[in-house]
Amino acid sequence: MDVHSTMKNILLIIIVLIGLLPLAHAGIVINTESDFINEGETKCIKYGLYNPQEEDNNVALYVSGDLVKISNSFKSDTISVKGNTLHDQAVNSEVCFSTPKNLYEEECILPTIGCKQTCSLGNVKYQGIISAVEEQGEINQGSNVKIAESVPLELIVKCQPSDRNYNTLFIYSFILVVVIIAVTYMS
Amino acid sequence: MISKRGYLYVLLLVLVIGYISTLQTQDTSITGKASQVQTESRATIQRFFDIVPSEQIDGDNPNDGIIWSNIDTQGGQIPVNDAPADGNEAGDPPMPAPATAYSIKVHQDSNVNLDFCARASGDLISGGFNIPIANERFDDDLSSGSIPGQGPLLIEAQSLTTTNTLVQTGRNVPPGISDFYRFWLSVPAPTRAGTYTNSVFITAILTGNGCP
Repeated sequence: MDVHSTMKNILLIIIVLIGLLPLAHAGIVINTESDFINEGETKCIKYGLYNPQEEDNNVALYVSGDLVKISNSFKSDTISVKGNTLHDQAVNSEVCFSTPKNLYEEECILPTIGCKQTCSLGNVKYQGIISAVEEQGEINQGSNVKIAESVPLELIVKCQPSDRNYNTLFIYSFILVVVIIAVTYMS
Repeated sequence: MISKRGYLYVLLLVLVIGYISTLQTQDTSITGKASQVQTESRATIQRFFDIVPSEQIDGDNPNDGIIWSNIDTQGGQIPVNDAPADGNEAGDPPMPAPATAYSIKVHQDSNVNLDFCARASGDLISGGFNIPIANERFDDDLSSGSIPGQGPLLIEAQSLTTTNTLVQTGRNVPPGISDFYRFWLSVPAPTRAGTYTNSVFITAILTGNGCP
């Protein structure tokens, strides 16, 4: 038996390209694609998950892009969405983000004294993608495959301009005078 | 004659008064002769969409998927160039053969048009052997191919990659309409016997946005 015949007999290449297996999948309702957030604030963006098909499914939201830098978790809790749920009956899911305090540097005469915020550099934006992905268990052949629905999200960190503030100067002076009085009283 | 301590108390009082004077208050009440009313207008806009894979790829049974079976019987020779997947012309009820069995529909309960991005996890792997990912090709079309010569065509096929890539610029699929796919695989010589697998990811995006 020649090589080719042998290969023909035993070379059974079953190429299983398992794509697009999830069968349950969810629709997504987008309420926000761009929003403001303050420095040092935690904000949660809500999405609706619906399922007009008959089968129930389990869905989670995934965060990608620059938004990962400020997201509290790259993946939301998995939500169970019943079948025959239309968009106006969507189940709420959310992803939360926290921005650092003092993201924008102030201009100060001395450290913490006479500071003002000019917002000269504009607003910092975090942009990324939120994907609704159906969760499925492991299968014996091929690999896990997911259909995803992705939507963009942009969070703009507000910069609040302010005039030069001398409050800390008064506070430091007050403390200094109290100390001097105390020292004078004790001497 | 004010003592040294007294001067310090005076200075302290000045500092307190100076600090208090920096605290500004704003009277926001509307007084008697106000001629302006301020209120808010608000509009809430929602976008929503869902996608529906065809029967062949909806995973209802273990034989679902994009499958090449008995690829060695095509002329009995390896290498094989651009072998069509089993479902490429299998039909998809109610669309008869040679319509493709692979499609994704934008569900009617959607209010936006969509595009699709595709990628694969990597080469098709069987143990220590692989078929390069570039050998997997696909094309898409808004026509199912039930009329010969129409639908996704081999001549327009592109290779899958590991990077999410827009399936077709400007496809802009509206609700109720399907995007149809066909797949082809080239098997180089010498490819060993085995079951070669990888994963394919299809992501629906709002038209006009980039792939994730």
